[in-house]
Amino acid sequence: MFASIVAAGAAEAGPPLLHAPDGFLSLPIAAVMWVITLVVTAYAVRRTNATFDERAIPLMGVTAAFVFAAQMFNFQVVGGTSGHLLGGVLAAVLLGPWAGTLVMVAVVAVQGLVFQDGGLVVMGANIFNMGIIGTLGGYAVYRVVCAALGGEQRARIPAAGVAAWISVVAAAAAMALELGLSGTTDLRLALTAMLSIHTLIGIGEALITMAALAFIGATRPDLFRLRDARVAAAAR
Amino acid sequence: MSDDVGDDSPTPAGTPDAAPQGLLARYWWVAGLAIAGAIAALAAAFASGDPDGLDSVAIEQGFEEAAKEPGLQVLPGYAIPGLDGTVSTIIAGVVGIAIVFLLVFLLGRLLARRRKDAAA
Repeated sequence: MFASIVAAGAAEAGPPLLHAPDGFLSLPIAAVMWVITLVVTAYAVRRTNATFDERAIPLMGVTAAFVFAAQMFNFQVVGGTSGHLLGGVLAAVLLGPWAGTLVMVAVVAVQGLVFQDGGLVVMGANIFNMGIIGTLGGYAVYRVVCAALGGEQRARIPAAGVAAWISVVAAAAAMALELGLSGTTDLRLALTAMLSIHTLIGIGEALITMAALAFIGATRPDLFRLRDARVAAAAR
Repeated sequence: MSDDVGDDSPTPAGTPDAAPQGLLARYWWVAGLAIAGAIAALAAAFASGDPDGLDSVAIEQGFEEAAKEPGLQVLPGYAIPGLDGTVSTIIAGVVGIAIVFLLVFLLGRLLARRRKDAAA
């Protein structure tokens, strides 16, 4: 009984657990998501290895630290529900999609291994949903919106906001799909509920992503060039 | 190796892009880590304790009991065992920031060095 009181107290003191625990997904779905995540991560290692400019190493580390810390900060959404940053679009805008993917893999892996936030069996799904969807899919949206609005220099912040919102909604849809296919809950109910709450949580993602980029733009705009320096080094 | 990026660069040539000089400018990443630490501290004190998007859907649809207890417990719940409250979460946050930063920094060093070795 004492242990349960202590546990309840600890649960109230800390932030709530954020990521899908083991048991939420069936083994086949979890295995498929692990395979996809491992393949993408291996490719991200190769691409980062081929194009990495070492001047971007500190930025990569700080981005990972920021995403980890910001994910701890649950913000209130509506009646009894909170949300938190995912950070995939932010990481990809700063570092490019491949180094950005590695940052998200590292963050979600440490959360699962050290803080028991997110199960190990479903970690492939958590990395894919919260990392890869934002760093690859969200980044593709970012490039398209930048091009439509007259270039990255002018459109960086609004394009990142749009991509960030879409990445959260897409992550929620992916999670709902995985839950439905696992038989954990009804697919249609899961989709409806996950999408309706995450259209709101995505606004928080967009605001934090835009604020972080605006802060860097105001204080150290040269950091935006590190990603391009990477690309330039690769082209040489 | 020049610093100019090609014509296909999204940034117009001639934009002032040189990194600021000086000790503080050079070790800007220490300030970046301090900001991350401050966010973790604010999270420990002010973050919403309500379930997040996925968690509240799990509760609403009755599948939160499907969650299995993790077999391996290191610092569960962003807390240091034996400590409670905000301080515990702040220390756990700082530990997490340090681990994530070092892990990614070493990964970056490893990948960058390999590129140089391949080129040599």
